[in-house]
Amino acid sequence: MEDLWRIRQRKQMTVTQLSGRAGIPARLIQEYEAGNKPISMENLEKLARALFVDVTAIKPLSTPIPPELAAGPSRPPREPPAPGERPSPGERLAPSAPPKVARPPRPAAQEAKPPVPARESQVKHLLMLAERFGLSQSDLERETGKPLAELTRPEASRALKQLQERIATEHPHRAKKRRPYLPESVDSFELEYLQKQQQGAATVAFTLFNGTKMTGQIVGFGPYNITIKTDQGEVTLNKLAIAYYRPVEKEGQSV
Amino acid sequence: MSLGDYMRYLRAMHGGESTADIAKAVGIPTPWPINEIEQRYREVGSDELVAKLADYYGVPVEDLLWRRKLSRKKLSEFLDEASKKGQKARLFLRTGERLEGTLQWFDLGALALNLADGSGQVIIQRHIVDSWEIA
Repeated sequence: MEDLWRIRQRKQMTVTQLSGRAGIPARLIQEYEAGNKPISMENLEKLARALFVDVTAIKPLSTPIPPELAAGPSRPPREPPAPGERPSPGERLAPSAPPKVARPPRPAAQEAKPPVPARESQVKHLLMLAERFGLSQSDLERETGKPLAELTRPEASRALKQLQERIATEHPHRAKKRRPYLPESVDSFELEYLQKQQQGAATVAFTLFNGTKMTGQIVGFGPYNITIKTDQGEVTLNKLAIAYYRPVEKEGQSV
Repeated sequence: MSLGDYMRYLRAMHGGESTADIAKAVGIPTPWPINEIEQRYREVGSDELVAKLADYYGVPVEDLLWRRKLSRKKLSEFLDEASKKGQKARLFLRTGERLEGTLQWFDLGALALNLADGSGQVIIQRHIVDSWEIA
């Protein structure tokens, strides 16, 4: 487990960037990093997703970020050389800052970029939504006023919006339908299970990919491995190598 | 089995090296594209990278490419539905075993099944599950 600020800095993200990605106010992230408050489970999951790490990789309560690191990945402003100090080569070439040159005006409208064609996914989505209303591709093309292959990205986006609004009006129950919550972004269930087995000093039988079987008590675990104490000593199993495992009764019978 | 789960399986069979080691071996600067393939649910990974990985693992590139169309969510959706309806799930593992039972929980890496034969609970790593059906 690591401090939030340490992971963020390793990923070369600013607090603002992390805030944007995770959808958590920057001020709250700063409080988490300062160790002023523990990270709630909900926000821990959001942060883990945004940082692309496992939820168990982040310490729920950070040790305060050292002041010298709090500035983030941006470079601090360069101080002027002290009297008698040799200026750097760049400074010797440019003893005084050059006057700011006004930025050239933006290119005229006629140099605007050509329209971007619609994404394949947008066209697929359009066809899928049209199908709900019994519209064929040619019906859809009549509505959009051009072949789907010639739609630009904004045009496809507008057409999608119109169809979605139509669904919301005509089939409000469908528009409100939500996907089921799938706990795919967290490893918490397995980690909670392992913690319970470790605390209960349970003996667990592991079956590996190659058919090897190992039995022992869990003495430690992380997102990627489990360490067990066997008769021969401690063994760390890479989770990738594990097919399945189950607790074993004292008499040697699986439960 | 989705491309992500299959890649984890291949990595396991290849000695369980880290994705950073694989990135170095296939000549890409960071392991993130490989991590993404293993962990994300949508279709990720360029054809070029998938071809490099197929070459690295010594498997046909087609075997990886068709799996890219499979979403990791398919297994999750199946498990979710089976769990809500109280149906028994039958899982076919890459070890050749077949396990049947009621789902207790599942997450990103594993699932817990209460075995139908009454022999207790087993925790199965997701990347060992090859296919599934309602029992």
